[in-house]
Amino acid sequence: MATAGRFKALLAATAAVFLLSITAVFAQDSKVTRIQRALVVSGYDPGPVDGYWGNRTSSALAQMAGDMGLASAPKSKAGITSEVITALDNAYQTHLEQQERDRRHLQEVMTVADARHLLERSGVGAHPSEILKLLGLNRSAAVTSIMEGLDGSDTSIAPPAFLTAPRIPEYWIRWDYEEDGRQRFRDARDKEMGELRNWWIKEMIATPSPQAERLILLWHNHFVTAYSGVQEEVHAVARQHWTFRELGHTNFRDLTRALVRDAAMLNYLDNDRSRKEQPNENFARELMELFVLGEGNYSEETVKEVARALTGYSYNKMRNFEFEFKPWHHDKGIKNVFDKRGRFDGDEIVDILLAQPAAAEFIVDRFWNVYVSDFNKDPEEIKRIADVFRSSDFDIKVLLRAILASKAFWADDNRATIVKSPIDLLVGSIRSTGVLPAWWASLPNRLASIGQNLFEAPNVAGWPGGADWVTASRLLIRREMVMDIASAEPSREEKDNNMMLSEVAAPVVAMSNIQMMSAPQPKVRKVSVRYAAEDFEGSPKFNITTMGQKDGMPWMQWRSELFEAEGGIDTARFGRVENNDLPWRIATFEMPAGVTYNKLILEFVNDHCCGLGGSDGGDRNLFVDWVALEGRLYLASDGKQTNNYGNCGTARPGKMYCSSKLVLTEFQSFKSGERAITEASGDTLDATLVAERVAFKWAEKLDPNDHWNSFTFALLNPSAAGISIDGIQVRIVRNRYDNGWRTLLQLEDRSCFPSCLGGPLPRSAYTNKNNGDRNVSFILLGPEWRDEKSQWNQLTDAQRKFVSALWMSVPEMLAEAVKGRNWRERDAKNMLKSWLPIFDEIEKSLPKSRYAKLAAKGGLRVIEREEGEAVMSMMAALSNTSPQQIAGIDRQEARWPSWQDRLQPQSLSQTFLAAAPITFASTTQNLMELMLDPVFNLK
Amino acid sequence: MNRRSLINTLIAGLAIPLAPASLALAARSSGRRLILVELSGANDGLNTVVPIADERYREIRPTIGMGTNEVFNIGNGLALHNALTPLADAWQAGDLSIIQGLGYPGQNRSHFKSIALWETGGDGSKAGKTGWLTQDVENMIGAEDLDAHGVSLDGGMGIFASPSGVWLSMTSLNQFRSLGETTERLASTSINGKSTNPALAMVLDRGQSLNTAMSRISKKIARIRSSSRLRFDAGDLGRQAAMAAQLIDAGIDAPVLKIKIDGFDTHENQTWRHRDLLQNLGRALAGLRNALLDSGHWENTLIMTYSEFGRRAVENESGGTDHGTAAPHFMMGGAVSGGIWGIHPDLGALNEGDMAYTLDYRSVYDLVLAEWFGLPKNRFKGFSNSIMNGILTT
Repeated sequence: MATAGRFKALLAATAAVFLLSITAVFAQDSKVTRIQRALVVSGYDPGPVDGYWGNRTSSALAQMAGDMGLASAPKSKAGITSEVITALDNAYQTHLEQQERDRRHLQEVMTVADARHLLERSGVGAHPSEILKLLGLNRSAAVTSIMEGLDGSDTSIAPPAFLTAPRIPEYWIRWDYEEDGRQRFRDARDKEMGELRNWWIKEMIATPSPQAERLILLWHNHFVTAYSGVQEEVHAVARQHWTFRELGHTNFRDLTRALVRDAAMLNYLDNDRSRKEQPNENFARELMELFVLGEGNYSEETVKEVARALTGYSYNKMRNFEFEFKPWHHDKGIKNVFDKRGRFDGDEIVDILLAQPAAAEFIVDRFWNVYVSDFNKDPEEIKRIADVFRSSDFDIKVLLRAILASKAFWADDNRATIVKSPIDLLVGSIRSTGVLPAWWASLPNRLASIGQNLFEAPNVAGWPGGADWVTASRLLIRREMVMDIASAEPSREEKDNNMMLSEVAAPVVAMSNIQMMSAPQPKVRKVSVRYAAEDFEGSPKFNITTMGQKDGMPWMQWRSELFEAEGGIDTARFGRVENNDLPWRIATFEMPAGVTYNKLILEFVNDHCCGLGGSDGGDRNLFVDWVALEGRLYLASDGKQTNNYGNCGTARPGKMYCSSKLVLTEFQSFKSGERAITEASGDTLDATLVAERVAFKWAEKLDPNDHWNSFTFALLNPSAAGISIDGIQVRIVRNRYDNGWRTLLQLEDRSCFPSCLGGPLPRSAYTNKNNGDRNVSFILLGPEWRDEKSQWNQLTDAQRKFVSALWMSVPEMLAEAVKGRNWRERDAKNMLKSWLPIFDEIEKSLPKSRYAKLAAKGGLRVIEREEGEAVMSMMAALSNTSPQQIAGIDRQEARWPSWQDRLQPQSLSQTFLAAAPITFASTTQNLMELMLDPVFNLK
Repeated sequence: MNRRSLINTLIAGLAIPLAPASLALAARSSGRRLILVELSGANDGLNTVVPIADERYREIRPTIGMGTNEVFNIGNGLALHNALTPLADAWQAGDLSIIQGLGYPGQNRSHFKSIALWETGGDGSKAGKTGWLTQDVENMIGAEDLDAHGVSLDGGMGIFASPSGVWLSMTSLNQFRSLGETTERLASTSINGKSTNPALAMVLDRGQSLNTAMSRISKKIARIRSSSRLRFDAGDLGRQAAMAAQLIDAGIDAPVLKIKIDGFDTHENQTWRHRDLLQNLGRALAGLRNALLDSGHWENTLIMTYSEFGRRAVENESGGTDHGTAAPHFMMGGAVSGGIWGIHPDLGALNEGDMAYTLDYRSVYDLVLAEWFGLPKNRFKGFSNSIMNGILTT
């Protein structure tokens, strides 16, 4: 079992390897401003809030440090450590508690009902242990107590492994794949999306700080994007999620600025393709209507102007979805936005919008709906809180405290006036009862069937909530789901993932007789199957058969007992399942020693169809991902599927919609405890360029009147001369100058990852003034300009060899690129017609060039990647076990009845209901009765 | 507004589906229904309704273009793909019309986003947030007496997105059938009178309408199983179409039904894939027509196809077509005045291989709401277009 320390390490790695470091975006001065503001809201006087570190700022900070018991006060900006920030947070909460002393409603002592209310609204559900912690405090102190858990970046369960994988999938080159390759790519991303969704749900169940999750849910439904709307770019989706975790509790200005540069957002609202010639207004409109101002607080004219300001705001798929400003698409003209006039960019637009009076009220209104009431509004109170929020320069903590400390939050009239979202209803109930149902793996589907498929909001307005959660058909399914929870058997699944892995990877059976004698043979061997089920009037059943040879004939060696799938979705009750949300589980069989085999057969034996109206009304199906045993991984997708009758689904082995057999012969090897990633072999021949794929990227027709024409190749994971990078675009340029023509090879930072030459480009590289992008050129034909000469001279030996290998491979790149789909789809054939003479010339000149001296024996070798990914995803699946904690305490100790005694048994209805029950006596001790009461739909 | 009156308004608004007096005509009294057929993946209009007489068609479709022996002529230089032969009867009877050149400004080429626009009545610069007909249908006089406002037979509920109303999927129908017990339980626990808590009042009210819908529908659905099994040989669409015919025959009173056929995203090997798809479409619609003619519901039924966008006019290098813009769609029904409506996009005026749309698809939405459901003051009245005058004989 992983320790907290290990998670921390993993998270640090996550930040370093994949996720953006958001804080780098902000300049030092704004940090001082932030500190000054924090001092003001905490009751200290740093002088004017101006971003300058002066005596008064320094002495206010020193005073605060003394009050908070810090050993020393920071002497300068550099001294602002995370300790200081924490102390400032504490100072703020202490100051507020003091201020709240004369507000009578905040001095009342917390009852069970108060505690449940505060927890359900600010977090997810309310476990009796959480209630106990708050009892006896006054409301003011209780608010302070729950505000300690707002930072979402410190998760209790490590995020999915795909986020920390050493390489990011090749989003940028995938269109070059044929359909089957693209399909495989999509399937892999869908699977990762499922992992991310599953992980978030587990985190919500397990976390000791659900207040962070509530804020993340709020932002997820405010700055809306959907996985379906971003072409499977799950890494961008995850990155946005992480932005909410890191910034969701800090400052709304920072958060909005980050979202204006967020890949998933720019994609989802089409801003990545917005050009000055044709600005796309989607993002501009939603930024004002849904994110910052609210409908009616801007004009159509302003939409157009803001859209102009956001042209060229895009992101780079090749470079890990980082923000990219494309100056060539940006409209540099003057824009009129509200009362301001200027050549605005995205950050300035955010500032202008936030300066509108409507902004603060709009955000407070959003918080009001989530925290105070979906139905009762108090415009004056909202106005008052908006003033507090605005004067803190949009500090989200200040806003949250103002909301939770408001009279309205605690008022009886506002209790039970928010309709529980599916997350509240299911995850909340699991937290409240402390019982993890055996069917927990189907939570994503269950959430989806009552309308809240995480990362798939219905549209940019998000889930409408309120009445929309309880439409007629949803109300019915909610009832069913709640009954399932009230009567749930707790999950007994407790597999230690490492143990599981070692079992599956158990000693590889020796192949030769000699080894066979010496190798210790285990009595039984484990066979693991990753499967998912759709149930209909019963679950799918399957078994496994191993086939060997006898007298040259296929011979059955062993057959497992029939296994009945668990955790399937009851399709008659809850509908069919989206493919990327299948409730995957792992079944384990024991295979006796001595069985040899060359083929596995997995048979689905009891298909059953259909409910009323056909398969959508109920269908029994089995899905198989892989079978693992003895260090071998058999992917279902590599198998052959035959149906016992009918013809459904033979084209997609592993998706078993009819009774059928899945025959598995191909496998990949893995060993326990080792990362089974095989990098493309580091060729000993320095000069050879090795790549996984070469694709045509882009070209323009060669036009003798232009002075600059280019033809670009894309290379996946190229390596040569010891330099190995994830991706590079090689641009062949035909350049006209006063006295003739030049042919050169250009590399630019924005089209390489992580770098073009295994490190920074040489000092003399050209810099694009508009976006800071740097590039270098290496001449083949025609005169070499002085800068280019320096660029070449400043390369290391290895870099020169690398560039030489690139140049020498150009003819072969062309031959490779022709094979891909881009070549057909991007009209390369036509482009090539005009370029053929140039490529001829290149081929003739290369042997005489300086590049030949360094890489004469070179050439290009394309080596397709070994499927290390499948093994990684298998390992991830094995470690995807059930959450071991509920609401921050061990699962075994979390069940509610044992805690209820300490809360006084008679308060059961107060523990679970936000108002007196309607259909049962409020003294009932029957949980099922309480949960089926209409009031249970509310919080 | 003070809080109390605000609450009262909310309760009133949530509890009773208010029908603004300005919205005319009752759906129930007319008993009319609309069957929406989603052609998911984006249907290639040019190979469905083929401009066979246009020479430019051969130029832009040199390999996947339809030959004269692969289509049947319908006049005006147009022909239908032979796979749609099952619809010949409907065409002869004047029950089938084709509306040409449908699209919208600011074409979005993402399947997900563009179908969301068609579902909610949006365009390239503004997305809708609820289903295009949900609000108007819910507001029809007599709508509260319906069994349901709409039923989706393919599981997709995007077009029915609405915070109110009774919009059901097949799953919920199944539950209605199998949950007789719960119905009684729910009914017995329903509350007399209103709560002063607006949220609770709303939940109780929803429970009430759920009970009503369940008790009405479950009885009717019980009849379906015993009735003879209707089958159309048209794949999954055939199954859904047969189910639709059975629901209608069983007397389920819902003004909108929705079915879907998937697989139109023919970037590659279009020729045979598209043929199979159109064959299923033709057979399913023909089967549905025959069944409704038999049961006497044809005159009250309007069938309409839609799709996220059309496909690029110029074929691609892989024997297929890429995401495009405008496309024709079908309207079928006893009250339809058959024929070809609207203007075919000019193949001589392509923009980067794409056709320019000639009619905003929301004009068709206005037509359906105004002419079919009698709601002239609908959300899309601004798109009203006289080019379709007379297409529905109402």
